[in-house]
Amino acid sequence: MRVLITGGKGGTGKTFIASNLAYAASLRGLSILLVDADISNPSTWITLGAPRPKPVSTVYSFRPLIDKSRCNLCGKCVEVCPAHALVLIPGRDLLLIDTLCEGCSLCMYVCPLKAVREGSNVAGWVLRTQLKSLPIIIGELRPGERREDTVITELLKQCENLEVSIKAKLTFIDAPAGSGALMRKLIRFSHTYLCVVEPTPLSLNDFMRLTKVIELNKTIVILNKIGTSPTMESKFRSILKELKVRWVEIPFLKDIASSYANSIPLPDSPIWPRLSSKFLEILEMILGRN
Amino acid sequence: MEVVVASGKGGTGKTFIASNLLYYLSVIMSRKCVGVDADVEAPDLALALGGYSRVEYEVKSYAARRPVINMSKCIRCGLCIKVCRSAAISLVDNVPRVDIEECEGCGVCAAACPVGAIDMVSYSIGKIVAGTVKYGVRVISGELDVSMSNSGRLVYELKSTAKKLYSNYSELFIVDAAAGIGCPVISSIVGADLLIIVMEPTPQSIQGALRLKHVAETLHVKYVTLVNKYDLNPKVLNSLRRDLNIIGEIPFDNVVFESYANMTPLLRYRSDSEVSRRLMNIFNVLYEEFMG
Repeated sequence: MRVLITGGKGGTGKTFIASNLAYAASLRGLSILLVDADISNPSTWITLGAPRPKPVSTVYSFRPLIDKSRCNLCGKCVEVCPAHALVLIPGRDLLLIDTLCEGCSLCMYVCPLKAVREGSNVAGWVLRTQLKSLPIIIGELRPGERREDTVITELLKQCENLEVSIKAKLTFIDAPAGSGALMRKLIRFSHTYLCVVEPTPLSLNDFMRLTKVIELNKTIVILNKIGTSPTMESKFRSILKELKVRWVEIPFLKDIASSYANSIPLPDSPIWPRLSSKFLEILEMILGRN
Repeated sequence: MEVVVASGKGGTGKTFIASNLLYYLSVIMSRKCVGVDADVEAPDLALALGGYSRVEYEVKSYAARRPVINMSKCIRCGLCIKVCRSAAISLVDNVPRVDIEECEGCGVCAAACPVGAIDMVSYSIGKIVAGTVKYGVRVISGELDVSMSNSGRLVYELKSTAKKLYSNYSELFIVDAAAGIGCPVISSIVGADLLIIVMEPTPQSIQGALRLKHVAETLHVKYVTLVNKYDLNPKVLNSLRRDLNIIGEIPFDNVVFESYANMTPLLRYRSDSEVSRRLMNIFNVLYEEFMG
């Protein structure tokens, strides 16, 4: 079963929950896989203090290769490029601005002289590391690259392979912030959703957006940073009751922030006894659905 | 003048900085400015400033296109399926079918179709809303429909709409970007005059800031870094001050949560707090150096 850790807004504690829950579950002898799909800034392995990940595969996206001997600078490709990544210097040159290119290859198909050929650029990587019995696979976007979808697609392919080879009982997937197309891909791929939220109106707003696309009967809300705003906390509770969504509350402790900042996994830190029952409760809720 | 607030990692305080900077500029400095919420997958800037008290503009965005296949012309050759890099077209009962949600709207299928059976039509992916929030601050927000692609395209349209609507009113735009370094963030940074990177002193956030810096350098955009909650782990900053061009450090204080819960910028909610004092100093420096 695949569990997606999401939440909408950034910084509510998705990576904190995903990393520590996966690690805690692996310590109980279950076969667990942790997948880091926050490809802009993958940091599950940092949070757990795992060894630096090593590349498993490289992902490429399309880039135009312009055959200057064929190109007559007609400008047709410049006209159609949806990303405005091609620049024509009339009568002199045709330039590609790599960071703007979305890798769609439309330029190649509209060129009347077949002067644009199939080239490629690195879009990102899939990497792997391991913490004790917990394998972690990670998608990483190359800074400056826009084709996030290609990296996610490769990551999910590697995830499926690894799930089979380690006979994974549970796969935890750490999602990026947001609610767009990447999130939809991850939602379709997963079976259960953990929505990590914090007691602020902003987080509530983003959570309500997510409820439009996730099935609430397959959702568990993690109400994180309890104790920072009693009014927002009771507002969340009454909304969750109304939506008939189950939830678990995690207190805000400065010690948590410090274990997070020092890359100490929660189950190995001195505050674990104060929090272990919360994490086991979440794990039981997830397993109870099987 | 276009100033973008971003961070490689989410939740480091982008909207906190952007909303307080807008309050500082409009109310404290009486300087006209416009807030642009480019976090189109989680748009919260107006909320952090108390919500829109008056909406002056609300228009659906047709910033993207989607293919429509004319079945009477289609010869079932399958070329569109082969050329699509998003795997958004598949054969269902020998008929090509477009998965609108997977489609990026590039138009390669239409260009490749040998019989011209595919038309690209404008497609609504979200909306753009503009108006006045409390304290008279002008804010314009992009809101991507949930689970939609093309967030980068919506950001471009948002920024050009902001200029169309407000360039007579002000030349100073404060853009609140999304988390990460992906497509919508690149679209937010392209063409900006200054990038403010908001970072926390955690290894997760430092990695994010360094990755964002890389993007800024690729796009030739000047950047400075503000460290939020710096006192959680101040030691790590020594080696980064020069590398990230750190110009300000803000301590952790629970009062920031309280100001959020009250949807009030901290500079107004608790102007006497240490965090407010630090923010004022940082904004004064930014104003003198870049916006004066």
